[in-house]
Amino acid sequence: MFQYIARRVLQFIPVFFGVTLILFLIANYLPGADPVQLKIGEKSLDPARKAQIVHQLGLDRPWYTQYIDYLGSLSIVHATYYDGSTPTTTTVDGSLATDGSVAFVIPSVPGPVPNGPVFVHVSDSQTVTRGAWGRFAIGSLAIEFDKPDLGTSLATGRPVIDILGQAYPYTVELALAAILLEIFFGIGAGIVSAVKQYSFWDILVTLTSSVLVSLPVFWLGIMLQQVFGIWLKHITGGAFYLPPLFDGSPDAKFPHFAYLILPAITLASVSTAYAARIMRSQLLEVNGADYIRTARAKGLSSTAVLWKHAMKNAMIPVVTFIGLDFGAMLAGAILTETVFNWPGIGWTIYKAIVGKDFPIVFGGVTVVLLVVMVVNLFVDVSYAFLDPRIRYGGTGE
Amino acid sequence: MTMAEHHKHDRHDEQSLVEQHAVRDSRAGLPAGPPIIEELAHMHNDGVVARDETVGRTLWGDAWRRLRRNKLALIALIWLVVMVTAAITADLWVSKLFGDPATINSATAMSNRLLDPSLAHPLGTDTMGRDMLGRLIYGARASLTVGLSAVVISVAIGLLLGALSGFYSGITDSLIMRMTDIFLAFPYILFCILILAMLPTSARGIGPVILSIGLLGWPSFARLFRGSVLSVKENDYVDAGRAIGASDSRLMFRHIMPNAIAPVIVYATMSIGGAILTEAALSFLGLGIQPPEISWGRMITDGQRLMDTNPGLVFWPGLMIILTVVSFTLLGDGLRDALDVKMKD
Repeated sequence: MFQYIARRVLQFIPVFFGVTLILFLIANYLPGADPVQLKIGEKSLDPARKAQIVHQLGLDRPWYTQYIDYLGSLSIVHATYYDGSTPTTTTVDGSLATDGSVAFVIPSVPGPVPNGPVFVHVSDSQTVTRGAWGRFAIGSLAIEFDKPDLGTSLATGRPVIDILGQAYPYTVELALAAILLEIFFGIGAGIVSAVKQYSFWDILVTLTSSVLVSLPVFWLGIMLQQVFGIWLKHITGGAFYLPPLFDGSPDAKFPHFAYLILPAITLASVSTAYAARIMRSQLLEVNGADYIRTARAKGLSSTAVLWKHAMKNAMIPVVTFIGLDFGAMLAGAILTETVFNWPGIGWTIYKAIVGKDFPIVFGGVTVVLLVVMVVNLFVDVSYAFLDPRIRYGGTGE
Repeated sequence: MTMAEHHKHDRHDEQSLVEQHAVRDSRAGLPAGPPIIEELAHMHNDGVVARDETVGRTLWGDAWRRLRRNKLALIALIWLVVMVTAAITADLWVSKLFGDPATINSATAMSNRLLDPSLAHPLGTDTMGRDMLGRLIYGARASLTVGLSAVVISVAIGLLLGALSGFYSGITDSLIMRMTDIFLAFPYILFCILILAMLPTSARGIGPVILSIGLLGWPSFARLFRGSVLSVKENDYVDAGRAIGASDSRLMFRHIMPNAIAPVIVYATMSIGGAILTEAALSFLGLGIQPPEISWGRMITDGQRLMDTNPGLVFWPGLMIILTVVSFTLLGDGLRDALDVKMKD
């Protein structure tokens, strides 16, 4: 088991560098796109001014320096080494600033200002403070924990990470609701259709799931909203139909979860169909196994065989699928959120695409991909605890 | 598993019928399938070359005979053929029957706006007085072009890397497999969104959509083909080929590929549907096909505001997407049964 976990964690490393490298290449070297726009927006500049900006932003440095800088900006640990040219004795002030953040004060120093969003530099008696989660210094090495630096929004000037942080709870909420639906209906439908193979219900489930996996999610969302939110308004009383940015909106007369129902159904639709298919085929496969025949032969009721024996093994791939799908939902809700004006991260990215707020688009996709990768790793590792073949020393291959 | 399951038990009684039609229908089927070295392939299966029985029978001929007995797959195929024909010939008749579906005619735009269905406009008109049916047919053009081209790109890259990976094991294999890990680690629609969002609006259009879907879709094909090559590689006839001094490329293209390609064909067919869905989603977000080019996804965006009074503006393009994607899935299911490919769901 340990070997399995260690291998999964080790596999994560090339994947992490690969994905971040691809992101970096898209941002800076995409043919036909202009890397300057990521920092200053889509502007037409005269060549001389542009060259100046390219130099200022450091976009003329070799790609690997820029890539390392990009990785550094994603990091939550920032370390800076102060060599002899920078006085280190006065680094730590430690006094509590009024905004609650601990201010570090470095007096005005000759030479260049220390690079990176680390310690605060005081020049001309002006103190610039930055909030951070925590800071400490080991000799000349200054270490600071802080949110990743994804730049600032071109439209509002707010840090991108704050904008995303505000949106993320909505995405998590929607993903949780959708996963609950998926577990309940996906597994339920799968069991029914496997237990009663070739019955009316089986055919219904098979047909419905075939159509569901072919649905454009955004279309389903629009149709559901129209039917239940508007045409059936007199029955539903206007619940389900989401006023844009409903929280605090005077139109929001229903409890929060009422507005969650339709987006959750929409987001869950495709995955529920897949979950049902996997559940069905797994149960059918397990049902043919010898140990199930043995269980039946010793006279166990079919209910006991199903729940005590068959389900245990059949569930493993389903649980894995649902786990991975949860990861995907934390990322893939851009269509659902856009249709329902659900102010999660997908909606934020969509608005930024429309508004050409490139730092939000790029930062948003980066964050989402990192979350997906970490969730996938987590699911992979938890697989080791779920599957007895791995738990007792196998490698899962 | 899908409805393909239901068809499996038909296969036994089908065999005898297949036998009867064997001579008459020889090679009636999939156009110019890859070359099969018949004797060798059969020798592997039964150890004896049963020449009389195999006259005129090929893997692809058999597959076509089986596919024709699968009603759902056949309906799907007919629908797709009708759509492809309509999309290809659209320039010849759509404008004459329903008026120009793409450009806005300022003289008639207001008077023809949002008409109800009639003989002249079977599905009514849109906000700019353009015929819906005509637009749907032109939308098929974009969807099919993107679906087919993107999958061709993915398959080409996937076959190349999968072949290299499966044929030469060792470091080549490890490197390519780590690359597929990376590409499979993320939901690729997000990367498509990012790439297209970073492009200037003027550069957006059908080309970048095809490229982004195609260039990111290859890893599944590479994995699939690698596995397939690995199992075919073990066959005696490959050793035989090598023993008589066949070059690597000859072994690959003449001996291994024809026998390892079936799962890729099945998966490619299903993937066309996926690529069409992705295109629709990208166009819905405004990142895909740009007006005046017509795309079903974009039609849904445009119709969304008028859902209350004219739900057809959204309903019909959506239905077209579903029918097309379901058709590719059913056809893929049918091919899987016909080619007897075992795949994970």
